Amino acid sequence: MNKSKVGLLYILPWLIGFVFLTAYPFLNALVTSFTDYNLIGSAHFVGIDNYISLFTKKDFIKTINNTFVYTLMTVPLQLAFSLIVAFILNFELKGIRFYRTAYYIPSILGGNVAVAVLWRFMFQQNGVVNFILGRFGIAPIGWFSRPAGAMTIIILLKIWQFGSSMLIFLAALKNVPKELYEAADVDGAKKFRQFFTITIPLITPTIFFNLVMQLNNAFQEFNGPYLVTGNGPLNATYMTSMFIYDNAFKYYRMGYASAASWVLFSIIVVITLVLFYTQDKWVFYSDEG
Amino acid sequence: MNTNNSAYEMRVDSMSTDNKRTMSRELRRQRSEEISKAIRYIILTVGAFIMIYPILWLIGGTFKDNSEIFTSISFIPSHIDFKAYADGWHTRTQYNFGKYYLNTFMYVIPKIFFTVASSTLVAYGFARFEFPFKKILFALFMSTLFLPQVVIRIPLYLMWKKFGLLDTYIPLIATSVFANEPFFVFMIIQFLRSTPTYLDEAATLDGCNSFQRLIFIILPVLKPTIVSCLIFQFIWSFNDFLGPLIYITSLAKYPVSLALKMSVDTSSGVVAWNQILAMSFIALLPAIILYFVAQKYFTEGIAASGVKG
Amino acid sequence: MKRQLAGILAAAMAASLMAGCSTTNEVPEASTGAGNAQQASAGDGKGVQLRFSWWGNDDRHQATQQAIENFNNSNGAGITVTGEPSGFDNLQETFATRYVGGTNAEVMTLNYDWLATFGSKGDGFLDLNTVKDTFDFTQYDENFLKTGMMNGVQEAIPYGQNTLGFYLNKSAFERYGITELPKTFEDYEKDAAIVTEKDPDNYLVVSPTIRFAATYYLQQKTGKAEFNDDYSMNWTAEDYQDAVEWYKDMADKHVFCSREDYVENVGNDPVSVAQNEKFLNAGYLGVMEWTGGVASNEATLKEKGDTLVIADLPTIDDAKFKGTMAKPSLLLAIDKNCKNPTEAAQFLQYILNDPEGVKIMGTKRGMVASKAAQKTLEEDGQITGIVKEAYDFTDKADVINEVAFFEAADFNNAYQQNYEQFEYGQISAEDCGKAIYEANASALEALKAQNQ
Repeated sequence: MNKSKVGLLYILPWLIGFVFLTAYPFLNALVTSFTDYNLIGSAHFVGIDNYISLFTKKDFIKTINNTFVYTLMTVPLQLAFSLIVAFILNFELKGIRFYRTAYYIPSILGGNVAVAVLWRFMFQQNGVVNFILGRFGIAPIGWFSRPAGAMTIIILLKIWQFGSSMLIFLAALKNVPKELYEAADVDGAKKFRQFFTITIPLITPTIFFNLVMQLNNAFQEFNGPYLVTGNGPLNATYMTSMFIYDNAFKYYRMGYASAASWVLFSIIVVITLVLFYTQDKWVFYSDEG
Repeated sequence: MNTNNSAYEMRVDSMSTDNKRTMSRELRRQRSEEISKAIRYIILTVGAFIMIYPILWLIGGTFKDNSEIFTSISFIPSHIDFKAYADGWHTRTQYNFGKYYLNTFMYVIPKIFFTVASSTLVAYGFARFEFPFKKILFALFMSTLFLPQVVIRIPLYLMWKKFGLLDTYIPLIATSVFANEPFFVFMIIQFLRSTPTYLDEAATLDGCNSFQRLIFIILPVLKPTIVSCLIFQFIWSFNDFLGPLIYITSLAKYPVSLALKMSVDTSSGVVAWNQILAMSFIALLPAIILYFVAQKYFTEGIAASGVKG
Repeated sequence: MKRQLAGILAAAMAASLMAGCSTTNEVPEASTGAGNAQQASAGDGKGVQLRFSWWGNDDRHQATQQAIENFNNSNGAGITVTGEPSGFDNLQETFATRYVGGTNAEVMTLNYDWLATFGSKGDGFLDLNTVKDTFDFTQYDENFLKTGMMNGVQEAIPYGQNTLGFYLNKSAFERYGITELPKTFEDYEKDAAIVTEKDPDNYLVVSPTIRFAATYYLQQKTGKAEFNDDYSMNWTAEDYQDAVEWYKDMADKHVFCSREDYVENVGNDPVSVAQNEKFLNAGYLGVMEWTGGVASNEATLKEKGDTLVIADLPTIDDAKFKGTMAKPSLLLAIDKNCKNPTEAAQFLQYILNDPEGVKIMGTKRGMVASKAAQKTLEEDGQITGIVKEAYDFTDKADVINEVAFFEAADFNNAYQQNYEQFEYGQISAEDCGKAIYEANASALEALKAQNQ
């Protein structure tokens, strides 16, 4: 059998769907980005005006800035955190299933109203966080009304909801053959070293996956700020995806929103491409010789 | 039983007389292990408490008045009364929550099935075969993940309208049927690529065709991954609000996510928050139970599938 | 071409897959489902199918469903109305998508600014003059009816009037020993001083957006509305500067809550404070709100044992106008492509003017503008408590109606962003006034261009 044809056959479902579920609306959005389409009336071609005005507007630049800060803060922290927790929850302890469930619950909650309300309670002026800080002699902080405070809140929220990447790491850790550990099974301290010498290299494809996904999620973050801080004081937590949403459905500037989407898209694509090129250096695939 | 026990004790006794020094070192080691175990549990428990606090608060909130819900971080209600659950379940529409649950499963189950089936096929295609334009196709495939969905919402809506499929579950399921959720496909690709190929090669020599290899060799290895896909898809599609909101208009077809928010409008009067919290707690249960139960499948992992590294 | 073909093919596949699913699971409602309403009505002659969309809370859903059911049973013309209820989340986006797709309900509920956005040329919704024989417009105040008019066309019926007012937590004032509620801004300043002496973080009035207070101030100062129908402006950059300086001064004196305090304790966007912790704990002793929102504010405070009352409107020094602003709470419109406009109007007549329908609909949408409806509700004893107070307040208050596009998001944003920068010390009051003026002017320019 000709191998090349078989591969295409397997990806055929995606290819068909791609054409009408993705390519068509994408091209539509690309065309729209060069028009002044506002949902009502007809669209006029405006060339690259939308793109020019994006880069001359403080608002948009600010959201790009915020998005970068947010991404740089959340991705490494969440990645490290979820990997460590997955490593711990991978031990065979009594009642571990309960703990594995508990640590995943924040991710099941997603945008539940409880999350929005409780995060407000925690960080408000007389909230839990200020109370604990007070114990260390730190005066109460207006978390929501200070730009850096609001950003901190949504960063912590993101890290708290680390369950999905933890789950993926857990599945990956289970794929690491036990024999490798048994060969070097020793007490306490060495377990930690094994983690770096045996575990990490074997799960680099999963680390890579989580890295790409988290970058993408962080760049397109919407829910966290939408739920808890909104635009934030002085637009401190105004993310590019919120800017796009507002322009599309609040101000009805679809052309503008589409242009902003393509700018965000290009940024993520470039960063992901760079990541894909670095793979050779640190990701070890077992299917390569 | 008794005799067994005493026999055991005797053995321990004789051991200890034989070798007291080793024993006391052994005891110390055990004690320090126990302490470290206790510390581990304490840390795990404190962490778990922070993680599940919102659920506790949510449950507490189902027994509170509106004013109590929004003014207290404590999860302990001042009284217990299951009225919110009963009222919330019956709703004040012509359908009860059972109907909305059924509606949800009408598209969540097919969605999960198609996600697993088609994502596995597509991932297998990308991970294990060479074919013309593979690099470009893969790049296109990945890039679909990166465009903000907000701007393609209206074109997609208009397309489904042309097909006459609005107010059906098809627009919600279609992305899964055609494996157009790169998250799942890419995840399976990465797992596949961390499994050695020599097993497939051996199977090829045994005369298996590519599909047989997928079913008999690859699938068992992928089990933990597929279970996680299943969990993710269940939770995400169960919670998805925006998709149903735009495509589903008949009350008779409303899923849980829409029903939950249907009466949330503080601008129009008093919202019965305890009922909404009660129903959103009930809406969380299937996901929590599924996750708890499905864990067995990742704890088995590769070791149980009979494939040795 | 090829792409389209592939798309159709794929969709056909999907459809056949789904057909398999739905026959086994069987959805009995599907045949009468709302999605097919329009097609069904064309062929069936007598059996006219209509959909009605609205949003709200449980009470409103229940009352409306009941009214629909009664209408379906008693209209005698074989009209069947199906309800499309929803909550408030993502409402605007859903409406926009359906409107663009031409799939919105035949009878729909509108927010005021949607009328301006989608009906600005007078052709976005059905011209209701075509159904004036079925729907009784004489029950409405002519001036107020104009709020449903765009470009000279009656595109929508305003359901009721929303008036901006001051609502005070009487019990909280009493706890500070203030037995007489403030009437003038001097009173407010004096009382704020008493309150902050004990609780320095408290504010007398929370205004969910600075625009409420600023508009109130500038209407009184100039005696004019902010904008005119022809997209021109009545207020100058100096006026805006004056307003933000006034508000800042009031915020410093803890009469109105500062932007910083609002962001800290409520959130970034203007929302109802009925669920807000600081409001419920009397950290805000009152709220500036539309009359439509007062019932929920009152209800949650009552659970806390506090009483909310409608206060007299304070006036600024040298006021040219001693009143407040008003707008329709929500509006009802008929789809411009509706095949059965008469039947749709018949339904509207039933829920808005007919005693039977009005009684069932009740006060779940706040106050009613129809005189017949008001009379029915009064006789039925449904207008009580704070709703009654709101009616009396509305009757007494002098109002300036702002135009429909007043509510467009651009304007709110201009106030919020620029005032915030001013309060946080990023720009001067002068720059702030100028920035609001310029942002408003350019938004108006865009609106004007769109409608020519």
